[in-house]
Amino acid sequence: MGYLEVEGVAKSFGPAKVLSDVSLALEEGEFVSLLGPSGCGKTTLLRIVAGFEEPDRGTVRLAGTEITAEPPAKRQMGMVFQAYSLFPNMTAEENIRFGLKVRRVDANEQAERAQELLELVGLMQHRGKYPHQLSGGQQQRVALARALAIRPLALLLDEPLSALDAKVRVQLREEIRRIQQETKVTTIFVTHDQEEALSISDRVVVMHQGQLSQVGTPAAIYGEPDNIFVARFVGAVAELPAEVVDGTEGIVELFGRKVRAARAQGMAAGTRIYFLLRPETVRVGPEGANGGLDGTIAGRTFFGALTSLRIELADGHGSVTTAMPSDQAGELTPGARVSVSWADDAPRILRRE
Amino acid sequence: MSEAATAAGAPTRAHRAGLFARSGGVLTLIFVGPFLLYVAAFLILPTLMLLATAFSGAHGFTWRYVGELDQAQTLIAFRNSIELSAASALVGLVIGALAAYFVMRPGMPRGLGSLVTTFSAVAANFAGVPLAFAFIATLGSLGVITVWLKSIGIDLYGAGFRLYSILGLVIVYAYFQVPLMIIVITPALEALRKQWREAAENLGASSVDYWRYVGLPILLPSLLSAYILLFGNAFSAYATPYAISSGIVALVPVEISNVLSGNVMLSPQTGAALAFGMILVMVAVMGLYALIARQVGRWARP
Repeated sequence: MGYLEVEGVAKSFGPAKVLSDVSLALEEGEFVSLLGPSGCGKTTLLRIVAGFEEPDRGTVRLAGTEITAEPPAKRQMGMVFQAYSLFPNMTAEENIRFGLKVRRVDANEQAERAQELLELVGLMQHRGKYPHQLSGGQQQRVALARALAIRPLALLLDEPLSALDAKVRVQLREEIRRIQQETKVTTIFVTHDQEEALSISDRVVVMHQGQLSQVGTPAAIYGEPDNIFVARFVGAVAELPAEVVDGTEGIVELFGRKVRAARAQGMAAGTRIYFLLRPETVRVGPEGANGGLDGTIAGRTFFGALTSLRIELADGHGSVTTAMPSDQAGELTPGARVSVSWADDAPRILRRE
Repeated sequence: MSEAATAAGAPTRAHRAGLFARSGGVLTLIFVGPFLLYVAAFLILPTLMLLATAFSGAHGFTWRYVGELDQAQTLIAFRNSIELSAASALVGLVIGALAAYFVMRPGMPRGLGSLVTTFSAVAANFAGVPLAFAFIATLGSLGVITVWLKSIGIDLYGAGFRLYSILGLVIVYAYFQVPLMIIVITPALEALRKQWREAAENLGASSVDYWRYVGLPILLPSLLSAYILLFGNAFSAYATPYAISSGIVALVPVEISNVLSGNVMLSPQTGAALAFGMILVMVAVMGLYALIARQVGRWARP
């Protein structure tokens, strides 16, 4: 039994079904991200856990107690919203003390706790500033400290980085993880940004159309997607249609040629599959190199340390993308004819309906 | 070489920016200029003329008319005007703010908000003789509501109520003060973010805690501004109280009318001195407002 559990939760808004029979359990101290595109139901699920939405069906339990019908104020959960949730009429310190003040905690204890948290989020020198005098990143750090001030049983983060610029996002997400590890608070983090989810979570929950598409460690979600939605949503992938020829040896037929794919072993001959290649597994060589698929470089994008190449396969067989160190991509310019290959155990294989 | 090319005629970025700023200045002048002229012609100039009249006698400068402001009848008029304005503004503020809040609450019927806003826009401008007649016809001594209440045993006038009293005028003024409050406070209520309420709830706050520590302090500057607007609106009202009370209730605008129309006496200087007194009252009220607003809105200052 988990520390924070959601069981059989369903929710509709009018005719729109937002969550269908969702069950999820978090261990105490775990950091779990809910990842998915807009409208997948991740924020609704978080708001049901927080108590701001009532599920049509299902239960929410925290530390062994059912809290489905408890109002938000009674759940002892800290929540950080997307942005602009600090009380504008209070200083950073007053915001942090608010939860303790309304719980009638002794003023000295409020001050001590606020100081402790201001130090934790590195904003001691900004304690007397009002929210509009703080940057977006500082505001979210105050919001995090405010949520932690009440010593929550669970911390709920609703896309807290979405309104920040790229550099601050990276800094703050690392800080959130550090603070979570220091405080050991069980955390649910909602995001649509796969990089954020993969980089700071113990486990990632990929959601799609109101259901949990896959739950696993970041490495498993990226490396072993359970279904084509997860493969497409998390990271870039080339999807090549293929068919298993020999499940014993792991041989598949790809564009009329037989290639080895270790992950196809054990599959019945004749099974239609997606042959999936992540960019970092694709090798680029001279045209006609042994056993590769020939193609033409159709696009090149520079990302600093890495350069991405989009290669159109010959005979209209689609395209694959590769990412390589920029210093090795010198002569690989659009229009160049190349061959792409991969290691036998590189392709992920998913059944194609 | 580039400097030479620039000097030969190619406009620099700074030069272009200067031209743009100048054309922006011209546009500003075209659109704002007439407004400033209008303000100068119909606000500043009349105010200066009014001041000049208030301090002018047959032999030049005089304190006489301003000095006469301490006469008993004038002081009563000022006291009545201030009491009526303060009370009707308070009634408008409380009822209008609550009405706007409840109309905007989630779960209210669709269209109720726009219905109330539209009605408010009309009602806020429905003052003067028609409004006075409407109230005389309903709450006058022979008004339909008065007669109906009497038929069920409630005798308003027997209990001392008079439409042409301060209380009666407060009720009449509420008809345009409440809608005006709804119009001016709705944007401030809409600006209260849902996240603030949810964050407060999430941290353990009750509804009372939320309003006490978050909602009302954030609204306070807007409420103060709205109160000043309503006060000024009532303070300057003339046609409505005149039509209802026919001068029975002494109010400053009615007194000004009396001395300008020659009902009692003809003295433009006394009228100007009364208007000068009204300006002083409004300046004092706005000064008080500025002091309070500075305190309650300190969190919004950069």
